[in-house]
Amino acid sequence: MNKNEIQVCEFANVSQRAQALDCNIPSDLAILPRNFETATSKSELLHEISTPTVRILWRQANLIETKLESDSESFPQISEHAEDWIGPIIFLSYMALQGNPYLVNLSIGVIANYISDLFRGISSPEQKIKLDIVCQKKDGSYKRVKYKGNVEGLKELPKIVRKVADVE
Amino acid sequence: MSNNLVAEITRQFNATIEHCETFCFITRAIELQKDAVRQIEPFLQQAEKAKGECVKDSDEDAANLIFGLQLSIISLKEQLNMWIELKRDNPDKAWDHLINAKTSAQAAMRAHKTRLTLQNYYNRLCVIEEIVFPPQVFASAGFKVIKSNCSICNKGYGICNHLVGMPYMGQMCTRIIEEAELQEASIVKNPDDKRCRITSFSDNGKWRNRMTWRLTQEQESAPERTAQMIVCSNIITDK
Repeated sequence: MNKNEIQVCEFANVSQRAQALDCNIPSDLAILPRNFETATSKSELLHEISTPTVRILWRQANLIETKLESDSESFPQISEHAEDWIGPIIFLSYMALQGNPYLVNLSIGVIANYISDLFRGISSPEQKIKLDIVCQKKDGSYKRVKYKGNVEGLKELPKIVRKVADVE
Repeated sequence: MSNNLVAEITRQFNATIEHCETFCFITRAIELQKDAVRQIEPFLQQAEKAKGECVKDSDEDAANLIFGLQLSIISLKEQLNMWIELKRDNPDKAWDHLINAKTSAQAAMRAHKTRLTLQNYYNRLCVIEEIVFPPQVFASAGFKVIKSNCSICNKGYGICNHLVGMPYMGQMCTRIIEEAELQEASIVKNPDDKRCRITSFSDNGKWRNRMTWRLTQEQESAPERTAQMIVCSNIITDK
């Protein structure tokens, strides 16, 4: 039987970290490198291997990302060759969550649809999806929602993210 | 024109499948299994030609459907080769054929929705993996990817709109790694590529094969090495 796991924990101040690392400050929707909280310089930042795929999906859905890196920059990506699908850390500002109620549904929904196609016909209980969402709360603090489970469980994630961020 | 082509290729596919499936059992005679493998080749050539015609007509659905049929037949061929190699006392090669059979069946299901009929076939391969082969120890290599290109259009992956693992005009999109650094290798329970595994381990100065359990050869001049592994993956996927 598949069991989906959701954990909520504190996350660093995204604006301050971006500034400290000499990156663009994401204002709406963005992808954060896996070591965003711990890297000591911009050159250390590493994206998940799935990052460009998520960016294609968002582009196709007309979702605009406020990227950390400039157009001429590209952070290396980490590939771990696991059976799991490891998604990047998605950042959603409070302004974006409050201003566009469909943003969180759409940004996660396109990923869920892609993974459903990718795993079509396969039902391995061992095959998991890992996706983390960092959201800015109404009070300006940041929370990380960590998801590990099957593709069906991703449908619950937008509701949880909105609740964690105190968005009505 | 594509409709006629698809109908003809589907007819050939059904005839080939019907014939070859008869030999996907360990009890079948090896010479008949080898003959079945040979009979698959003409179909694959015909299908490739027909797919080319569909691409010329810009009929993506037909091209992907034929691609799905090709992958299904390739999977069957790999399964036949698995039984053949088992009879030849080559379980390591047989394992690779089994994994190739599973990978091709998975890809076929992604290539075209009509190929979802392969689910039971795929599950059967999973059962074969469980009961015919002993448990394996898998390895996984972690890479830092600096540059990768899309296999469909050869642009930098992410610049175009092609998604890894999805079919486009009868081809599967993969990421071709142009520049990468090996970060680590680890033992994992569920690797992306099950061909990447520990094949033997040291046992009293010799190597013991994990499949046959035979002591195969004297250990070479690297006493600190305690295992031999095969790292097969050259294409990095998103998983």
